[in-house]
Amino acid sequence: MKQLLLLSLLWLSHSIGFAQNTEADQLLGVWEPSNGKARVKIEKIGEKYYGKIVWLKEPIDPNTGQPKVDKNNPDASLRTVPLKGYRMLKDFKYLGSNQWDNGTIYDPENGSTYKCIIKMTDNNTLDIRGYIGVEALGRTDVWKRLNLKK
Amino acid sequence: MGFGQTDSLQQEEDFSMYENLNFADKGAKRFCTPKVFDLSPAKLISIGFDHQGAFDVDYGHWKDQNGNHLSDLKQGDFQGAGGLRISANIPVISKTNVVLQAGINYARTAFYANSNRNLNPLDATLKENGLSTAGLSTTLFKPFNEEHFMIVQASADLNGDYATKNITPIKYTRYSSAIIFGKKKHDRKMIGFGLSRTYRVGELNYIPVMLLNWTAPSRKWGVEMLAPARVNIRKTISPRNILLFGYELEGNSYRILHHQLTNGTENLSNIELRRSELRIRATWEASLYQFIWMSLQVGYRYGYSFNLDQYNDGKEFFRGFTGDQPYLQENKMNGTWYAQLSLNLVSP
Amino acid sequence: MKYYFLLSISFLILCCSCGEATKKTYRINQIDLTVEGPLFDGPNTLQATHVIDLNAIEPNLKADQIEAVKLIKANISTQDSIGFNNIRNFVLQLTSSDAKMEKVAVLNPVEKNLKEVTLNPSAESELLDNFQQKEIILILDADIEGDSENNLTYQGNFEFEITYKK
Repeated sequence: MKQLLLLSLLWLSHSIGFAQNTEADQLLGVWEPSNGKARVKIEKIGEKYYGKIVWLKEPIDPNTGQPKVDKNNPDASLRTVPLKGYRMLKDFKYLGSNQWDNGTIYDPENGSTYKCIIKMTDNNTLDIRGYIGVEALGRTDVWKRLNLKK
Repeated sequence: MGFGQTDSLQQEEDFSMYENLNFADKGAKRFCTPKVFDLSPAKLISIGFDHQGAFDVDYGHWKDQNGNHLSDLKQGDFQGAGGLRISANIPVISKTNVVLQAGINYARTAFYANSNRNLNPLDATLKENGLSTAGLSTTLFKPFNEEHFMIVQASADLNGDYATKNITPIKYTRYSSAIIFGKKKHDRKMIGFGLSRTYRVGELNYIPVMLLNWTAPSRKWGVEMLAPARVNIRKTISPRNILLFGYELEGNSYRILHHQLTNGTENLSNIELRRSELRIRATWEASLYQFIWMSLQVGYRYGYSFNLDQYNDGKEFFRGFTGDQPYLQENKMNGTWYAQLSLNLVSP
Repeated sequence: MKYYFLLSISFLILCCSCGEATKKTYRINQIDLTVEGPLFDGPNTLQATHVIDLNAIEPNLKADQIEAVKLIKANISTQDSIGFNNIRNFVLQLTSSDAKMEKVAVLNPVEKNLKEVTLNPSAESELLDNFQQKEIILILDADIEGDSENNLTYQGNFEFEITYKK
């Protein structure tokens, strides 16, 4: 009886853990910000989620003729990092209730990093809110999930 | 070995495949944003001081409704003028298909002069009370699709000869608004046209407006314009360091209440000061630390209007460009240099 | 009187020097950074996990004694016959479970005909929070030309400057 109880408890905790993992992993995939200028792939490293730029509508810098790099980074020694492959969403942890928090979003246009919270409003839609200090002082962008063309 | 097991990095993908993707949701739409590249940052919270150098005011004859003049021509010299300017503009709704901002602002101008002089009642209240304006505003940015958008802006201002006490009663609020329809052709250009109801010339007027935000392909220069109210040419030294050259027309209609303005037998009421200033200036804006920016502005303040009106029956009247209703007192505020320094929290 | 004065001064100096910061180099030698195939044209992510050994810096050193950590050297080498001829650029990041990911070095572009390259460390990245965890993950993004079915392994040699209070 005791063994059965123990086994049931083990199975239950494993199931709950597995279910939570699946819920958090709903964030994985390729997403497009509202302006359509880039596509971002969200992946998991360790227990945290990161988003990297996998496609740019205009990948070449018209001033240099070369692939775009992170030329506005406040750290001058990192200004040669290419934008394709750039991890602009970093360090997100799943909080439950379709929210991922404690992360940051980087804007290569001006080299600014903002605190960020991600809310999944439905399976194909994310509210990505970058803010300064408090959530009220920020801007929300709606990202849509992308799938391979059939 | 904890980390490797839950990674999703095991399988790498061909980056070229990211070209051939569709929205998972069939009805998803793209919208344009309210910004172009390198636009000077929007100020969420701003605290600053404005100071003008010494100047004269040529006070005109003060005429009553029958055209009889009640005071003589006089000139008043001021050692300077200025005061605190604070504002907050917070995005209340900030989504891809609508942005709504709510704002509050306060600006004070104290006038510094020899307190013993006694030129005329307007001069007396300027010295004693100065001028203040406090207002609420709201701005709506509504993109229709990737290219077309609409901006609607409205504000309510309480202006008068008050400092912190004896604030002008609410019933003297002045309302302004503007509506613009525009097109954002690409990330370096947005242009729009519309109409505004404005007090920037000191009194109520309806004027067409043009919005142009443009950035050169080199990303070193740009134009930020909401003409005729404000025009700036921008030089981008770096994303955190910019220079702006241009002008702004600032103005409002102030209810003058705390005065000894009489017609000889009784205090006159319903007096409005039509104040308008054209400021030609250079501005330096730079990031001190992340989103905390400073702004230093230096220029020349040209006095566009400083006349007094009296409302008959207490009702506002419209003069526009063609009206010829006489002013109660026609004054000229002569020009001087000015400087403005502010600390700002800027928006993402 | 003079004797007591000198004694007090010496005591003060001794106390001050007890709190002085020490700098030492922490090395991660010949760590394998790997990614499984197939690999495709573009950035591919190699990674390695390293357990931090504070005793290697100073016996019984505690994490809270560390004041600052900077990457000072990052070398990547390969045994492949083609060397790094198919690599356009490298970006190195460092992360751990309870600290933020930091971008620490970059080499763009990667020159041809080399089997060992030195990345340029970031002047400003601060790795203190990462080094106070038990493990760190080194993440090397390699921008690869062309596709390949194979796994990829490069060797990394890294040096960190650790500033700590004794």
